Amino acid sequence: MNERIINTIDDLYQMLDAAIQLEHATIPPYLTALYSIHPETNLEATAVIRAVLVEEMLHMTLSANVLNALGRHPNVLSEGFMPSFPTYLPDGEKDFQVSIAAFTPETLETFLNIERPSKPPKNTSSTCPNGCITRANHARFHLDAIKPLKSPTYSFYSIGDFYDAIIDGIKFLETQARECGETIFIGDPKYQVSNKYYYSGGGEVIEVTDEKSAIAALNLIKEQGEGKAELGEDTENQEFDSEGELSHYYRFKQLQFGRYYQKGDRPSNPTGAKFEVDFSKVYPIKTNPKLSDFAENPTLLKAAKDFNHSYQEFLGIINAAFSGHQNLLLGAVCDMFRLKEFASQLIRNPISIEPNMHAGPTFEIDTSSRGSLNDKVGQTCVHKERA
Amino acid sequence: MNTQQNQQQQFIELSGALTDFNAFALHGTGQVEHYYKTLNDIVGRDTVEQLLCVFQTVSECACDEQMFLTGIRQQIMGDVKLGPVARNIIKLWYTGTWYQLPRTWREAYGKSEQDKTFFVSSASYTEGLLWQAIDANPSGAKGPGYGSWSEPPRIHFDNSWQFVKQQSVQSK
Repeated sequence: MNERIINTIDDLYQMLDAAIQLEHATIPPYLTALYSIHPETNLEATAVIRAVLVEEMLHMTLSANVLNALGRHPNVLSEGFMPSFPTYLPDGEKDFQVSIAAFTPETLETFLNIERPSKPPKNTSSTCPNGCITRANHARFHLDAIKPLKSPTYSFYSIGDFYDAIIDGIKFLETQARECGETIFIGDPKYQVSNKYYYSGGGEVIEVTDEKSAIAALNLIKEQGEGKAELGEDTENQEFDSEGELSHYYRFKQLQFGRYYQKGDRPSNPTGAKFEVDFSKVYPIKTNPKLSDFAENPTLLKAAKDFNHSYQEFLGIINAAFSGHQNLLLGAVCDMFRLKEFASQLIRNPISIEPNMHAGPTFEIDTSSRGSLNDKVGQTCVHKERA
Repeated sequence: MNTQQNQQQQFIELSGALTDFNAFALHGTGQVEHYYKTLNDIVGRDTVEQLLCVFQTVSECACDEQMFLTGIRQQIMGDVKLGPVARNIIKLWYTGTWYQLPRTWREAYGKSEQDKTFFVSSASYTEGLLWQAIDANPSGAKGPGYGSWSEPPRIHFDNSWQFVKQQSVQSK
């Protein structure tokens, strides 16, 4: 069987669209867990989740740069881009769901699942492409990312395996193109998001213009997520990426251990400074809140709707930034800080006192108003640029 | 709802009337418990209960907003004992700071050793309602993003306190 997952340029477009969607899908859960922590408490956990969250934003931007380099703009307002939570992401032997929820031991376990390093199960079927496993319940997955092309039965084991498939596809297609004296990197460089407008967001953006820079961008995503080494053997320093930074998986591991890693540590035994993770200092958000949960509280309902509306507008600005208006990212950063305030307000408000249950952002995006919103965002962008 | 929860709920109602921010905005600061505890620790439970009791009576007797506001002005703000406490609650919500009560109040109603001017916490400073009121970020915290200063403030009154006519306990 052909083990290559990407065989045509359309396959590659689809996988990169899925990559952008996948990176974004982790943001609402990380963001909600982060803001569920009481102010001034759990400083270490707060720092870890925040660092991972902003790196996911970088990953989304890097994936968008790769897609733009291939001559296609991402569309973060396409139908189904925002998953309905709880949702599924890639998993191995046992499936797990990702939820909008408070920071709890269970949530931390989910975060570890999201970021887990590649570890293909031993009994991998020989009919599966590299990094994939067979699943019986394929139809349950909602995200495009875990619907590999042309197969109804297998999925990627880890997000790293997913990116490996994209890198393989780029190498294959670019080699093919060069044989004909062409290249797949036909995108206009002006669409590349650069460090001029992307700042304080989990690292430097890589502008993608060719195979080398595309692979560098995708490797950065992989390494920040899961580290450079494969899990399985407990060897020294496998927690760190090639720049010496701890990968997401092991950053979250520290929260389970209540202890930092330092250079020379084995994954099973961090020896750095100890710290406390206090799960009681967290607002008890209703897991996967929906607008309908706030039906009896008009103020909460309005605030939750306002948040969703603001988030949708924010996605519209991101779309425009990925389509040649990258200067809008400066304003988008300000919008992000506002979104943080709106989300925090929701999270700190009780829905009911007994049982003690708090509200939270629902991330329900109204698909029916998308067309008009796109127009509106487009007009706003033109207006702002003229100004 | 137990007595403690009930009193805290009353404290939120009172705070809303005093600050002109609704319960959603007050909860949204994450400071309700901290401020309620600070108030109790410094002026004592008896004074807090007296304040909440007067507030409840004013609320239940008011047929309309004007009558309610008059009641608040006369029975609470104009009261020698309760007035300074209520003014401190306003300042607490707006600035996150507990201000030492006036000397005359301290001499008349007891001096708490904790009654000094202080920030309840570093979070209370950043959560002061004054920042929401003027749509600015607290200096040195909550960075609003590069260039945000070129935009006009977006002041809205979505979270204003609203008068709601109370039904008296007897008539329930």
